[in-house]
Amino acid sequence: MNNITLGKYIPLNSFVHKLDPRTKIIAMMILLIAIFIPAGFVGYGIIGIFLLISLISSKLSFSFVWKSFKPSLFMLVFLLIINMFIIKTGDVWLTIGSFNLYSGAVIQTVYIVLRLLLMIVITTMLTATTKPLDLTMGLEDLLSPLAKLNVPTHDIAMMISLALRFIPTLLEEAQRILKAQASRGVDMESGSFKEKIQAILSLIVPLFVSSFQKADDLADAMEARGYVVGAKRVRYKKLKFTFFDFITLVSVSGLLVGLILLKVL
Amino acid sequence: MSKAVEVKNLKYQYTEENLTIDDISFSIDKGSYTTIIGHNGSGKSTIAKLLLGLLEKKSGSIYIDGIELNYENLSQIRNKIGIVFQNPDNQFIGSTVRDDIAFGLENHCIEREKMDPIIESFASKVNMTEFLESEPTKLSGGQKQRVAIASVLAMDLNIIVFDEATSMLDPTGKREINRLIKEIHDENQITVISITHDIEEVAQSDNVLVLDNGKLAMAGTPEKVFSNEKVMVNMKLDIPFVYKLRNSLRTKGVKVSNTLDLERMAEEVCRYILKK
Amino acid sequence: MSIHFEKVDYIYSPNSVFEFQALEDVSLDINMGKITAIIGATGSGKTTLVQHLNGLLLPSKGFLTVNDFTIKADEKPKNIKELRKQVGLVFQFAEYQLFEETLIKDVSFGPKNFGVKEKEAEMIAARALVTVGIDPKDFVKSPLELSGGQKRRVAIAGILAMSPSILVLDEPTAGLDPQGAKSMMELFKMLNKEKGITILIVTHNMEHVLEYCDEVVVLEKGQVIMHTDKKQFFKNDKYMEKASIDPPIIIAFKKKCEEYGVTFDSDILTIDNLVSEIVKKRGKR
Repeated sequence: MNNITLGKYIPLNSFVHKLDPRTKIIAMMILLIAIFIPAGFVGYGIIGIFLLISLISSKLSFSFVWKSFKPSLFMLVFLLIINMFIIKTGDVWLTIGSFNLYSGAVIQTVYIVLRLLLMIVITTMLTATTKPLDLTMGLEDLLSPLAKLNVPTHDIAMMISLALRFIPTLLEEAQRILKAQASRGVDMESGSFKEKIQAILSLIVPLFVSSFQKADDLADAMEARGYVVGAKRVRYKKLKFTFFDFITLVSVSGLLVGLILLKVL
Repeated sequence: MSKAVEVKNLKYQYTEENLTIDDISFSIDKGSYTTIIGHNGSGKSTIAKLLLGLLEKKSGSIYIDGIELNYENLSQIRNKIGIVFQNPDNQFIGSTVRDDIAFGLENHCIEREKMDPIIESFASKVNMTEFLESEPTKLSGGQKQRVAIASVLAMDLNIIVFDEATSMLDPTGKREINRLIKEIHDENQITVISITHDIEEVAQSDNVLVLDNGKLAMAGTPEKVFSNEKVMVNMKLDIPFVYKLRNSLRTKGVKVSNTLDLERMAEEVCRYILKK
Repeated sequence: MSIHFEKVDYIYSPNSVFEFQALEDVSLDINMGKITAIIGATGSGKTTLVQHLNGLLLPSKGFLTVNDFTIKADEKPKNIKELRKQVGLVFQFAEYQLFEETLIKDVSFGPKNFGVKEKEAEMIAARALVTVGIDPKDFVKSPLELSGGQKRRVAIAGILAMSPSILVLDEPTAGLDPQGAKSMMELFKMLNKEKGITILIVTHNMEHVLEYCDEVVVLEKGQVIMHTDKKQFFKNDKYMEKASIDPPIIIAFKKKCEEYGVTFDSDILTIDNLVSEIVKKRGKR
């Protein structure tokens, strides 16, 4: 459980950590677009350098990012092999018997690998430097224009915050239930298929029942404290743009424009 | 001077067969400390929820601080009365102590600039200042209940219902919370309505409401209730030590007063023994 | 049959920022056939200690023996299922573990995990449910239809159905009303006296310790600081004061009487005995 690095928040005190979550979300979107601008290896190189600088200023370790990337490796190797047989554009670089390896195949695959690597670095940096609740707030603010179209952005944000608040609690409860059922002879590892299903049910059913009870109690508590769905409220936490957010957005936009120009010229 | 709470002929039905609350009437004075007792299933928690407007009554009327409770004015009612529930975890809404206390303020549309001083002042009142940034999973049951109390106080309410607020806590937690409740009652003149099993707490309250199967079996001072043998025995209520001792002494022909105080009882017994 | 701890240490999350030593150098022999209370402040290691008894936790150092099983570091006992049959562990708020559609099915779950066939498991379950006081006509009800106290009894029946010789209960009366708590303790007393089951109860309730337990084990910061019989324990008011434990009321009462010049023997632990003694003392003057 503790080895899942994808999506995990790392509490540090870096430049990137201190940026407004809205800035980071917008920057991420812009960078994701930039990745898909076909500006060749030069383009990827420029993006790569930019990300390298960002990574250093976020104080995240390289091994952490690598761990996030590792799960995709297997798929990429698989992809490379398929491409080698399918893509037949460009010059022939290698011949083994009746099989020809085309330059097009290699280059396309390398592009895919690069794009994937960059995407993972960008999204990992976002989730690792931003607390889930701050992310929710940032999203809520950015999506607030949708509220005018009657999309309940605030309620959705409230639901997400509550879910985030209860995830650790539910995990603890799941642990407890597992131990209680183990004390009744439940063995998650061995047993027939039917027994395994029963074992899983003995964990999931109590967890569900408990969650529904919590939801019930929570609704009462929220209502008693004056919460009304859809009613006007004041939000305690405030997001504030600083000069650093401004320069971040300007540099990222500059990068995008630069890449477009590179492609066009 | 209106009463804090007035209930007239209240009825509530949860299932098809029985009335969970069957024609109950009572009133509670401002600034008083009332305990509500009764076996599990007698309707205690239901009454609590009805007073907060969390459940819809079948018939009868409820007045909170002189205002009749109905569907339209629930927000107004919730400006006057609040509740602390039994499960410390399931009423902790915010991701940190600070956020939890802020939640009520957000709903009551307090100006954002005014929130921080309010949050810090009430966190201090319940001795949770050093835990303001803590997450609920890092807090004990007693600490979480302190936060619940701070959250309710922060909304500037004068009537607080405690629905078995200490039954899931360890002895230290129970002591903390009981002390805190007594403090806010004595110092801030909060009207306290406490649903409890703690017979010693009942002994120290001003008024007791005894519920039995949805009906009000009896209402009165603790002394009156404890001396009503029929009620105590029929409802298998926990009897305070001093009463058990007194009754047992009486069977041996020894007379002691009706006191509920352990110290006084010890004094009287010793006087009797030493023939003073 | 025996329970023996030998210099057991337990450390949570070793070598991490969350490292915490929950048990330190615990050596203990639990007497069979008795009801032993395990007390201590929250966080003193009580729950950690009892979870070693059925192998849910393995010691970080040292070992323990339970009946014929040895439980030591890094080595889950072979045939741990059999251990879990002999040592029934009931968690706090055990009602949360119920999951089947009917009471009888839920209580049969334990025996079935040990290879008992369905029909026989149901018979065993029925007996266990009756033992904890559930009416046979309720056997086909869903757990959701019961009150908290009743659900807890069903959960205990689920453990009793495995016929443990040792029953370990972690705060079995937490959150129950006084009446419910009393009948729960009466159940354990019956299981001990009539079926000879060795019972260990983690509890905070001193009145229950006074009335129902034979021996007391006291934990403080992960160490066993006391293991005595009940009467000896309640004589030690120095400890109770230091640990901020509220003594049972009768003991507080006797203490107050001392302030007024009357001393009662430490063996006087029930109201009836107290009253007889009061009359006797007056008679003597």
